[in-house]
Amino acid sequence: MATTPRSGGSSSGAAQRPNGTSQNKSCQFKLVLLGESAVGKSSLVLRFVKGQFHEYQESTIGAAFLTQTICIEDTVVKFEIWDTAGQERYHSLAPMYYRGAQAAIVVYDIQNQDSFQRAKTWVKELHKQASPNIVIALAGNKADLSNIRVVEFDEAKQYAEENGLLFMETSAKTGMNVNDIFLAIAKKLPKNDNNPGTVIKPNGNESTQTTNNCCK
Amino acid sequence: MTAAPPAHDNGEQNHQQQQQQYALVKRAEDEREDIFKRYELGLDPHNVVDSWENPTFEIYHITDKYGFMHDSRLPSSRDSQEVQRTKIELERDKKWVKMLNHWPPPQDKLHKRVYKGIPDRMRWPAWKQLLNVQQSMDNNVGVYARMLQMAKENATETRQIDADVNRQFRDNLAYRERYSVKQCSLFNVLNAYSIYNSELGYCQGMACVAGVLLLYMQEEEAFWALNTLITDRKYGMHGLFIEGFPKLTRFIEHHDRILSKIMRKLHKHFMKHNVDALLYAIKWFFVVFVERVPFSLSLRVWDIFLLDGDRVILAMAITILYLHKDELLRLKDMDGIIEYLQVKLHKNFGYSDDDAIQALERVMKKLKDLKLDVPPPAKTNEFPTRPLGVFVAADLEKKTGRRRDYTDTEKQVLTDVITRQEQNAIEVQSTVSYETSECATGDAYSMKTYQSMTSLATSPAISSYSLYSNGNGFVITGTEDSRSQSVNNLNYHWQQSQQQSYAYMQHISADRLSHQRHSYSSDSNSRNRLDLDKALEALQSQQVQLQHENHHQQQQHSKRILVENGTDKLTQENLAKAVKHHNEKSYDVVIVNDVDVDVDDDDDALSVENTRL
Repeated sequence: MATTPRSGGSSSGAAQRPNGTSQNKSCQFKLVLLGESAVGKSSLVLRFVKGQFHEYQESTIGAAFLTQTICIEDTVVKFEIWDTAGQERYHSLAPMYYRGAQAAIVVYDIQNQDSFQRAKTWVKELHKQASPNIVIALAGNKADLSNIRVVEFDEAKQYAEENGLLFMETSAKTGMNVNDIFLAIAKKLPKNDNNPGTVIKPNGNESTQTTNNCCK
Repeated sequence: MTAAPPAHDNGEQNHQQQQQQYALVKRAEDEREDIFKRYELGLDPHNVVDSWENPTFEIYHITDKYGFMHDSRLPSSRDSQEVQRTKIELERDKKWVKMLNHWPPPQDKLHKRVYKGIPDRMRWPAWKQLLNVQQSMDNNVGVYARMLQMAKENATETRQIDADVNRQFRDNLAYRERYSVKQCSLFNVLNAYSIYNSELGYCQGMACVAGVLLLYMQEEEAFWALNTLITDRKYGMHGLFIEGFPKLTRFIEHHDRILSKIMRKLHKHFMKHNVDALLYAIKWFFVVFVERVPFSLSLRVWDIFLLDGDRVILAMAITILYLHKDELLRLKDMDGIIEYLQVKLHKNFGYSDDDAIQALERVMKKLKDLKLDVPPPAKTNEFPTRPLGVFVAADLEKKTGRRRDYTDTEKQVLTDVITRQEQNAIEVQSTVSYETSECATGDAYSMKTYQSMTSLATSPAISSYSLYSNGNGFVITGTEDSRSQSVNNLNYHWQQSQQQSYAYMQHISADRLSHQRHSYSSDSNSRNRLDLDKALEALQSQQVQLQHENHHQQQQHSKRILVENGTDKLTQENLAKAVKHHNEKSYDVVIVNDVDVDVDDDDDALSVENTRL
C-alpha cells in the first residue's frame, strides 16, 4: 500500500486536519552534517539516532542517511539526517546533500584548530550556497577531552554569535549535548525566519502558529 | 635413566649427566614454587595474568575465520553443512595448489574454479597471480622502499590516512590493536601510494581496499596489488577515486540504465522515494561491496572481480537489487530502503554465498545477452596522466591542507549530480503523470481505476489539472488530452468534494517562495512537497489574474486558470513539487494503479531458485 508522504512512522496519524486545524502537527526537516574528516559527525548521528557510541566508527564513504523523530511540545519533528564524508575530495558532492536542507550541523573537534578553521569555511559556504533560511548549528565535538582542548569555548561561542549560529560543545562519546543540539535546532526551525530576536519560548505557544510552511 | 653406562666410560661423562639431572630437577622445583606463589598471590594485582586466561577474553569465541569479531559467540560446534564445506574446500586446496604451480591455467578451468570460490588458504597466492603482483615486484625492485621513504618526508595525506587507519577494520583481529603490524602496514602502503601515484593521492575508500589486500598479503605485495587495481584498465579504480569521481558517474549512469531496462518497477520505486543510486552504490563501487554484504560474500565477489574486472561490480549491484527486490518494494520510505541496503544486508544477506554467486553469474549472462554488461567506454580522465613513481612536489595548499575553492572538475561534477537529481525528479513526475493520465483517457485498465476513484469521491466530479510554467507565472489547465503533455507538464488528478471548484491564487510572500525554491531538492517524502490543500492555499493567497473555463466532458470538470505574476514566480520546480505531492496523495485512492504489473519486467529471465537461509 502506498503511504502518504509524512506518515512514515513518525507523525502520529499524520494528524487529520479537519478544516486545516491540527492537534498534533508533524514536521519533517532535512538536516546535513558537515565538517572535517574524523571530527565525529557519524558518531554524533549514531548517538542521536541510536544512543550508541562506537570507538571506531567506520569512515563514511559518500554519505549516510538516517532519520530520527523527536517531539517538541505538540509537534512531532522528523529529522532526515544526511551524514557526509569529511575528506576534502568528497567536498564536491556535499552540495548535493545540503541543497534544500533546512538545517546543518557543522562539526569540529575541540582538540584540532584546523578542524575549527574548516568549520568556518563550511559556514561560509552554507551562507553563500544553501537556503537563505537554513538554521546552522556549530558543534564543538569531543568535549569529553576538554582538558586537552585547543579551541577555546569562548572563541567558538563568539564566532557563532557573530554569525548567527547555534552553538554547543558536544560529546558523542558521553552523549553530552547531543540531543540538546538537535532539539535546539528543532525549536529554532519552525519559526524559520532570519530574525534572531524571535526565539521560541520553551513554554510559549509560538510553535502552534502555522504560518510557516514547515508544519502542516 | 636407561641402561647403566659401560664401566669403562670416563668419569667426565658421568659427571655431565649428573649435572643435567640436577638442572632438570631444579627447574621442576622452581616451576612448582612459582605456581604455588601465584596461587598464594591470588587476586593480588601483582599477579600477572595472560589475558586469554580470564573469562572476559571472549575474542576467540566471537572471532570468525577471517578474523572479524562478532557481537556474540559463534557456534562452538560446526553443523554438518559447515563440515561439508570444509571438506570440499580441502579438496579444492589441492586442485588450486596444482593449478598455481602450472600457471596460467586454461581460462575455462580458471573461470569455473574462481566462481566456485577461491579457497581461503589459497587466496594469498591466487590473488597475487590474478593481480600480477610478483611481476610488478620484480620489475620494480626497491621502488616501494623508496616511495615509503619519500612519503616520510613529503606525503601530504598523512593526517587523513592516519585517521582512516585508526578506524579501518577495527573489529578484525589483525587491525584491532592500535599500531599493530597490519595497521602499520596499511599506513605505510597508503602513504607510499599517495607519493607513487601523486595525481591520485589518497581518497577515503582506498584504506578499505588496501585493508582487504593486507589481510592476505605482505606489505609490499599489497602495495603492488593496490597499484594494479588502481591503474590497470581492467579494474580502473583510479577513475573512481580521482577528483571528480568520473568513473563513479559513468557507472552510476549505466547502473540506472540497467535498472530502467530490466527492473523497471524497482527503478520507479526508487525514484519515487528519491533513492538515488549514488546513495547506495558509491560504497559498493568504491570498495567492491566490503562492509555492505557479509565479509565472506564480499571475498567471493572480490575473487570474481579480480578475474573478470570492473563489469562484475555493475552485475553484483544488479544482483543484490534483484535478489532483494520484493523486500525493497515493500519498503515505502527512503530511510527504510537505505537502511536495508547499507546496514541490513551487511548483517544478514538472506542468501548463502553460493546462491548469491550463482545469481551473480546468471545476471552477468543476462546482461551480456542484453548487451548491457559493458558500460560506455571511459574517457581519458579516468586514468593517470602523469608517470607513476615520479615525485611531484605538492603545492602549499596541499601541504597545509587548506580548503580551496571548487576546481572546474568539481564544479562540473556538482552540476552533473544536480542535473541528474532533477532529471530523476522530473522523470518520476512524468511517469506518475503518464500513469494518471491513462486513467483519464480511458483504456480498460485505467477505466477501472477511474471508476474506483469516482465511486470513492464524495462528488462525481473529478478535476484533472496540469500545471506548467508559462514564463511569467504558471498555468493550471484542464487536461482533455493528458497524453500530449510534455515532461514539464505535470498532471494530476484531484477529487473535488465540491462540484464547482475554482482555484484561487493570491499573494505568497517572497520569503516563503524563496524557501520553497531552496527546499525543493529535499523533497523525499518531505514536508516541502506541499500537499494539495497547501498548494491551493498557497495559490489562493497569490494575487492572480484568474481565467477559468469549464470544460464539461462526461462528468469531468476541467479548468484553466492562468496565473500571471511577474514578481514572485513559482519555479517549475515548485510546481513539480506541489504536483508530486498531489500525485502521491491520489495514490491513496488510485493505489490499484501502483500494482502496475510490470509486464516487460524481464526479471523472470533471471529466475533463481531462491534458497533462503
